[in-house]
Amino acid sequence: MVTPQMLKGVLPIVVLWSLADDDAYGYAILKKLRDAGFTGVGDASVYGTLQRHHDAGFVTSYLGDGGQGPARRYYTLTPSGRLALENVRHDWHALVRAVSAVVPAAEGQIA
Amino acid sequence: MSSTQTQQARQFLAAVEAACADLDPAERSRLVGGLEEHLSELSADGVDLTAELGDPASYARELRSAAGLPTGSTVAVPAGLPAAGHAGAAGSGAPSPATTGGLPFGPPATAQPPRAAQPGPSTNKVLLVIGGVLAFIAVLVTAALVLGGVFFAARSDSGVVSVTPAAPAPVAVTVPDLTGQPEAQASQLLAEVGLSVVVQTASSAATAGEVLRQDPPAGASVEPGSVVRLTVSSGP
Repeated sequence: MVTPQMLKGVLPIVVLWSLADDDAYGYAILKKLRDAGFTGVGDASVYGTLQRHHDAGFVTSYLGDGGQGPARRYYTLTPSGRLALENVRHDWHALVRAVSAVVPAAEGQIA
Repeated sequence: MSSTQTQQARQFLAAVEAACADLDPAERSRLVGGLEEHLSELSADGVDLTAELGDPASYARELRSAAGLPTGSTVAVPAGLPAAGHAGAAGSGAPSPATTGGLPFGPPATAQPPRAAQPGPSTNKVLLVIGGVLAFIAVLVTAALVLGGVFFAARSDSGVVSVTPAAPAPVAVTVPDLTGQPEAQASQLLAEVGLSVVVQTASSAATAGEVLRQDPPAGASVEPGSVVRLTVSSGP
């Protein structure tokens, strides 16, 4: 389980990454994250994070097709957001490597 | 949205807005302004608003926390931390001090309950193990926060959208030439000049452990702490 505190740390990163391949609207991002295993993530967290990225200039939004329902607000990465993604990716992998080097991979190794 | 849902959404919105009443008006409008549209999207997707959103006060707290704003009067803001929502009132000519470079995340939101219940441990040993794991997680989260902080600290307090991913560093570092050096020596050199290193290996005729390539190249001027990617020979 991803604890709320862990989630808080990685949410800005995963929300930004969820837009790397395709533009998406808020609820689609929420579903994507939950499907990925962030089961405890809430709508307000995703929406708030999107606002924060918008304020920072990492994402911009536009009204797109909503199928049968109302138009949906799609979020898309700006060049600045892509740059941030690329930067954070290297540092993230460095963190994962460091963590993996310390955390035992198998259970039962904690005395 | 059906009329019941519309009614429900309106009440919810009003309550969230009320819970953000202490924010600067421009700040509040940016945070809550698009929420109505967002709630109609949720309804259109068949989401049960009551079940999904919970109570408005918690929602507002989570929203503010995620948006990097102070989480309100119910959570004390420790001295020394800038209360971004109160600074830079609209119409004020003087820009508020920017919080760039600091962590964008506030202190742990203790008022925010976890969504899933923790399983109850049954023995002291299990408690001990869980304690250790939690301590480790704290370290991990701190690292993640710092990492996130570097790249997501660009929020502007003035309401003007900032387009830079991070505060410009005052000093630039010149990337040294590392090709041909043993990996350990190259890593040490990078650490000495204040750069991070990410190593990947590639099969090559060169001696195992020798740096084949580097990115950015030697002589490049980069910010302190930037990552230099080394491709190291894994041997033939």
